[in-house]
This record gives sequence, structure tokens and C-alpha cells, in this order.
Amino acid sequence: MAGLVLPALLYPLMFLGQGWLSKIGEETLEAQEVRVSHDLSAAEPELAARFLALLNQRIPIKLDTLPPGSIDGIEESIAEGTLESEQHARELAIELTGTDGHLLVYALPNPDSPSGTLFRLHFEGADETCREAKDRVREAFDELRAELEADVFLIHFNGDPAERWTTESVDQADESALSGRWIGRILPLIAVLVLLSGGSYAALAAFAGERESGTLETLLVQPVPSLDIVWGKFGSVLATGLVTLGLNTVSLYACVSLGLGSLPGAEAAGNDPGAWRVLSSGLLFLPVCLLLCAVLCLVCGKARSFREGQHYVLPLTLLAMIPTALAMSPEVELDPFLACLPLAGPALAFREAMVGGLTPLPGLLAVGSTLLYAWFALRQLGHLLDGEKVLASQSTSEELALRRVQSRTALSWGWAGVLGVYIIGGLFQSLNPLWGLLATLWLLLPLGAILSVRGTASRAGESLPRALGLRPPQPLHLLGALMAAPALARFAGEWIEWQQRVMPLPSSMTQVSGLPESITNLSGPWLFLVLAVSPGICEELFFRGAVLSGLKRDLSAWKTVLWQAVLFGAVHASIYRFAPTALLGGLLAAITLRSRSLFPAIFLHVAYNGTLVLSGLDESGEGPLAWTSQAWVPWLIVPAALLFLVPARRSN
Amino acid sequence: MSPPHSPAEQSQPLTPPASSAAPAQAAIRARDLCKNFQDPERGRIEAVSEVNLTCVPGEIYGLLGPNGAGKTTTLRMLSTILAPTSGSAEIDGVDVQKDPLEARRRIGFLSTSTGLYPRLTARETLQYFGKLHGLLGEQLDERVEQLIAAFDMSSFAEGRCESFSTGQKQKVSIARAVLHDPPVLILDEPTTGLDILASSAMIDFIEDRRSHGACILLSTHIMSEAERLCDRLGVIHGGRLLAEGTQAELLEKTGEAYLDAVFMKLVREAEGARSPG
Repeated sequence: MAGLVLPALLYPLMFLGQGWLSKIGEETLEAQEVRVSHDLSAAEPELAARFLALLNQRIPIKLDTLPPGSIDGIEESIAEGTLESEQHARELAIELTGTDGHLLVYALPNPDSPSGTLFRLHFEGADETCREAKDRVREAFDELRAELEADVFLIHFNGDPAERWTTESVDQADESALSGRWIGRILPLIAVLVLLSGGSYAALAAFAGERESGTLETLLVQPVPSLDIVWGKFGSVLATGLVTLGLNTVSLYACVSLGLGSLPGAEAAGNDPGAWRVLSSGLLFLPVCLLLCAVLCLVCGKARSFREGQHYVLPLTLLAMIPTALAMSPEVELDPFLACLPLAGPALAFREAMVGGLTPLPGLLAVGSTLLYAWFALRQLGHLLDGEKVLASQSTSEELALRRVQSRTALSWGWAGVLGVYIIGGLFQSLNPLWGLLATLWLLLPLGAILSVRGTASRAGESLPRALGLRPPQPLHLLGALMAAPALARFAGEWIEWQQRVMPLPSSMTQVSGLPESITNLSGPWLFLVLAVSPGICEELFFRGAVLSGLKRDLSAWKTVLWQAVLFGAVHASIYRFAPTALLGGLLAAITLRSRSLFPAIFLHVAYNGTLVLSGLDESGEGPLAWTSQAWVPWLIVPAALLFLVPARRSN
Repeated sequence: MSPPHSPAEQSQPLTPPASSAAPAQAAIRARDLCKNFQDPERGRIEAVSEVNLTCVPGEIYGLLGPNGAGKTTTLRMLSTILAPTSGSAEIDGVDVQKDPLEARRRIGFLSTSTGLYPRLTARETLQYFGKLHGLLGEQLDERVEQLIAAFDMSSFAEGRCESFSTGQKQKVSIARAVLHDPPVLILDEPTTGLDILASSAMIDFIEDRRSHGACILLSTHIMSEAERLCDRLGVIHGGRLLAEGTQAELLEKTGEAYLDAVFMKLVREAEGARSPG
């Protein structure tokens, strides 16, 4: 019960707490005295005096006039105009202000305008008080600029000529549509999260928990059809999910309507989106509730214990968030294709309905397709309590723990590797992009691979290279890997093009590679070494070598491939690159499993990255991919046949 | 834990009393029962192979075998949880595959892995399972009261199952299994994991049910328990029923003096016959 009610109290607490904290923060900062050291001797005396007068009005403030000549060293360093001299200027400024973080402002002749003056501000961005000082100085400058402009207009035009014509925008959208616009974007994601978190406890208790405690077996010997039992359990999961969702929605609606606060992206608090509008648009989301609760039951029904079920719920939640989050991007428009995508369709339809812009065809497609998916899921539920499945593979928890120890260890290492690349690799690359990348690839990943595979190798009585999959490959597999690369690179291009429609890249990422200049300035062979050979060898050693070696000993092939895809997608740390890199990771894992050697995966990875590097170097933009522009799919058939039909080389 | 009183002494039978069945009619009959599993690592496994057995009302039949012999799979097929790969089985004349719900109405099933809902009280547990058996209103309340009294559960009837001792849980489980007064009891290793008192009470309960005409099929790997309880025994190993008969018949057949020696001899013979050369 508390689990249902507490989430509903989240919004009032969040809004009230957020408002209270920000008010306290603002008041505290406004009351804070800031210190500004200044040397404005290079500016016109009248200008400097007016600026200081304006600054003095922003109390509490303490102004320190620096002795003449204090900034001479800084001025000379700036005049040199090099990166080193700029750094030197900063160091000198810190000497003047000290380490207690007060602000320094000084005037210099403006190098871009001979008669002008450049005012420079040095502030400590990590210091809250210093940032407040910077804001006050900027305000004073802005006010001074406005005063000067007004003076000019008064002298030359007898007032501001721009004031003779003005523009005024009138938003014709009604209040509910305005409020509905952002609530429509954010509510689908909240609804999915709330449904999954609310329904998951019920599903875990009803399926995984009962299986663990043995009550499921007791139920199966009662004179009740197992289908009735499944429906009863599904009903309780759905009811729990709906009640949690209902309470949350009412709580959010009440907070918005009563003006307690606004969610990120909202223009103003207190806009009532209209209960009827929320309710009628919410009906579009009912099939999603059916689908998600059915999937929750299916997932929890597979788990042999409550704990195992918990491990499944988090990935399911993350997976469900990806398509639902599309509704948060205003660039993504609802079309018939997107309407049929699970979760994405209803989320976009809900968003459109909240602003009153939903057209019948996509709306019907979104609801119809989701009902269809829900029906498939519910049909699967019918087989969930088949005694064969519930009992045939029943093992003791000790047996399970022993059986899964290798894959669980490998998975932990996999996630540790991903986090290591994020944190340690990120630190390396922030120090030096090129050497940081090389250190991440050639130090971090091989070290992780060796540490990770040691346990697997000792348990299996294998040598480290053998456990890593460094076995002689089938030559035809290597040939297939090399042949597959260009067509796969073309496929990745097609994928990104398609993905642009559903998840447009931010403008900052549409630049060629997003790579730092120290890497893009490398010559061709070095670029090939850094971006193709190094990842091809090191990433494969860690993911398809060490991690896969542990995973495959406990898990089925498809589960191993799936985890490899998730880990490889995650390590690339970009939602925009997740799908293509995950697909590549899954494919490389499948090839390694099939060939029983790591070398085909290394060859394919190097060749794939190499193809992308070469096409990036080519001015025409096509380069080695030009020949795949027509009918790239057939180009995959031969390599696929070589990779998957030719048997692996026999091991000694 | 004091020995439970017979619920049959105080209850109105919900189905025709087991003893009313004609003595000649088998309460449990299995014909060529087979069960194969597909294991991802080991391939196809024959868990039970061509098991034939018959058990009549008022009889305790013990399936004797080591872990993994196929005892539990056989009992689960007879209690309708698992579908046989081939062969057939009848409970009180009802085919378990053709009419599993009717067969379940005639079975009381208890195993070491059947659990109780931790958050339900003993009374709520009995009420819940009573409803699943179609009991409602006063009839249900009356039956639950009878069971609480018969199994001496009144001191903890309102407590949650999660707080019970092993013995108390055992009483609730037994009461749950006989709630509908079934003519057939299928018990999978009924004393495994119980302490001496609970184990003794379970044995008393089984004997009591036999005296009231129920047919009891149980599995065990404890020789002393088999010797004390079972009217007839079936030795099962590797999914096959190696021999069956009364204890005296088995001793005579094998020429051994003790039941465990009989068991070892039969197993050795079966393994010798299976291994090549």
C-alpha cells in the first residue's frame, strides 16, 4: 500500500522542495557580499566612473581599486596572443585576486577596435559567490550599454528610432494546449516508469516469488485451469500498475493545476492542461498498460526467484524508456511507421492528442498496433504456468548459483569495463584526447581482459590465450569477415539515416566525427592505426575475448549475443550510437561463437572501422563505400555464408 | 507437535468416502508411463520410462529410490502437474490427461517443495484453497473449523504462515492437502526436512488416512520409513521400476535379509545390465 501511495506524494514534495530550495538559494546569494578588484585606468574616466557607480548600486558589494601598473604583466601576456601567454595572464590574475575567489575586472585597449576599450572579467567559476559577482558586473555593463545607447539616440535622433515600430506576438493556443504541450511530452515517459515500477512488485510476487516459495506448485494441483490462475495474476499486476499510474497522474495534475511548480521544459506553472483532455488522451495509453503489464508478467514468470526477476526488471525498464522517450523530442513527428513502433507510437499519439493535433490514421495505428502486441504478449502468458516450464528445470538455489557463477562474474566485469571506460578512460582523454584514447584502448581494456579472464581460465583449466579465444581461425572466416566490412559500414550509414527520422542528432553532433582535432589532424595511416586497428584489437580482446568467454559457459548463445550487444552499445556512451554499435557488438559475438576464434571478429572490427575511416578521409564523402551504394544487401550474402555456414576449425 | 486427529473422524466427506470404492478398483493406475525432458546441455533425458503401477484404496504404496531416480517426476505426472510423454494414468478412475481438473479434485498432493503464502494466516490459507476447491460460505467455514480443530491449530490459526515453526507449517500444509477429503494422497518425500516430532506426526497422519480407506502413494529414500509404512514397495532407479511387491516378496525374490540390501542388489543388477560388456 505504501508502495502505491508514496510515489503519489512525490510530486508535491518535489515541487514544494524545489521551489523552497531555489528561493532560499537566491535569497542567500543576494545577501552575500561580493568583492570586485578593478583597474579601469585604460578606460575613459567618465565611462569608468559611470560603470563603477552602477556597480556600486548592486549591494552588498566591496570594490577594491588596484594600484596603477597592477595589470601590466597581464596586458603584455594578452598582447602576445598565444595559448601559453593567455594561460600566464590567468595565473597573474589569480595572484591579484588571491585564492578567496573575488572577481577581477580591468580595461584594456580593444585590439579589434583602435578607439575602443575591452573590459575583461576574471572569475572563479567553481565559486558560487564569485559567479554571483560576475552576474552583478555583467548587469552593470548591460545597464551602462543601454544608457550609452539611449544617450546616442537622444543626441542624434531625438529618441530611439526603433521605438517607432515594434513587434508583438500573440499566441493563439489556449491555456490547456499550452500546458498540454509539455505534459504530453513528459507524461508518457513518467507513465511507463510508474507502470513498470508499480507493476513490477506485483508481477515479481505473483510469479517469481511464488515459484521460489513453492506456492506455484501448490496452485497447479488445485482443480483450477492454469489459464485462470494466469489471468488472475495478470489482473492483479494490471490493477496495481493502473492504480499506481492513476495516483501519480492525479498527483502530477493537481500539482500543475494548483501552481505548485512546473516540470523541466514547462513555460510556466499553474497552467491547467484540462482534466478531460488528460483523461481522453490517457485512453490512448491504456493498450500500453496492457502490453507493459503482460510483458512484466512474462519476464517475471521466467525468473526462478524474486531476486532473479529483479535483475530482469531494470533492463526491461531501460528498454521501454528508449522508444517512449521519442515523445520528448519535438522534432520527431508521428507518422504511420512510427505509430506502429511499440511504445513510441502511443507516446507520440498521446503527445499529439494533448495539443489537440492527433489525426485519426496515426492514432488508430498506434492504438491498434499496441493492442496487437498486447494480444501476442497475453497469448504467451497462457503458456506461462505450464507445469513443464515451472517444474522441469527446477533446481536448488545452490545449483543455480553454481551454474551461473561464470556468466555473472563475466557480466560484472563487462559492466566494470564499461564504467572504467567512462570514468578512467574519460579522465585520460580529458587530459589528452589522442594519448588518452590510446591509453584507454591499449592499457585499460587489455588489463581488464586479463583480470577478467583469469578466473574463467582457471575454472576451465585453460591457458589465458585459449580462454580469450586466441585460437587458430578458419581462413574462410577471416575472408568472410573482411568481405562483410564494407557492406556493414554501408548498413550503418543507412541505419543512421533512418535513425535521423526518429532520433535526430543534435546539431553539435552532425559535424563529421565529433572527434577532437588532435585526432582528426593525424595522417591517414596513423588515423587508421588509432581508430581502426586499436579498437579492433583491444575492444575485441575485452568484449568478445574475456567477457564472452565467461558468458558463453552458462548462457545460451542468444543470451550471450544479447548481453554482448548491450555492453558494446553501452560502452560507446551515446544514445545516438547505441543501436548501431549494439548491433555490431551482437554480430561480432555471434561470429566469435560460431568460429570459436577471436580473430574473425578482430578482422571484421578493424576492417569495419577502417572502411569508415577511409570514407571519412575521402573528399567525395563516399570513398570505399561507393561500390556498395547500390544493393548492399547482396554483398552481405557471401560473407554471411562464409562466416556462418563454414564450420569452425577443429581445435587440437 | 502432537499427532493430528483424523479430520475424517470429524468431517463430512466432500467426495464419496475412499472406502466406498469397490476394493477391486484401483485408486491409482499407471500404464507404461514415460517422461522425457530436453536438457540444453545433456540433450534428451528419459526421466521416467515405462512405469506401471497400481495402488488400491486403503493401501500405502512406496516408491523407493535415490535422488534423480524419477520418483518426483512420476508423482508429478500422476498429480497432473506434468504431462506424460507417453503412457496413461488414472486417479480413482479418472484419466489424468483427459480430465485433469476432475483428477485434481480426487488428489491431495504434498511435497517438500510445496510452500505456503507467507502473508496469509493459517485460516486464510485454508479458506483460499477451499474456495479453489469450490467450497463457499458456511460450508467452507465449517470445513476450515473442522480442520483447525482436527490438526490442533487453534493456537496459531490467526498467525501469519511466515512466523510458523516447521511443525506448524507442516500441519497447515497437511490440512491444505486434505481440505477436500481426497480419496488419493500423493506425498513426495513427506518427511524430508522435518524434525523427529514433525516426522513422527506425519507418519501417524499417513497411517490414519490409510485406516480410513485412503489410497496413499508416497516416495521416499528412507528405508526405515518404507519398512514401517508401506504395504507395497516399488524400487525405482534411472526412471525404471525395477521391482515391486510387498516387503516380504521383495526379500524373497532377491534372497536378501534387509530392504536396503534388496535395493542395492536391484540397482547393481540394473546398472550391470545397462553398461556394455
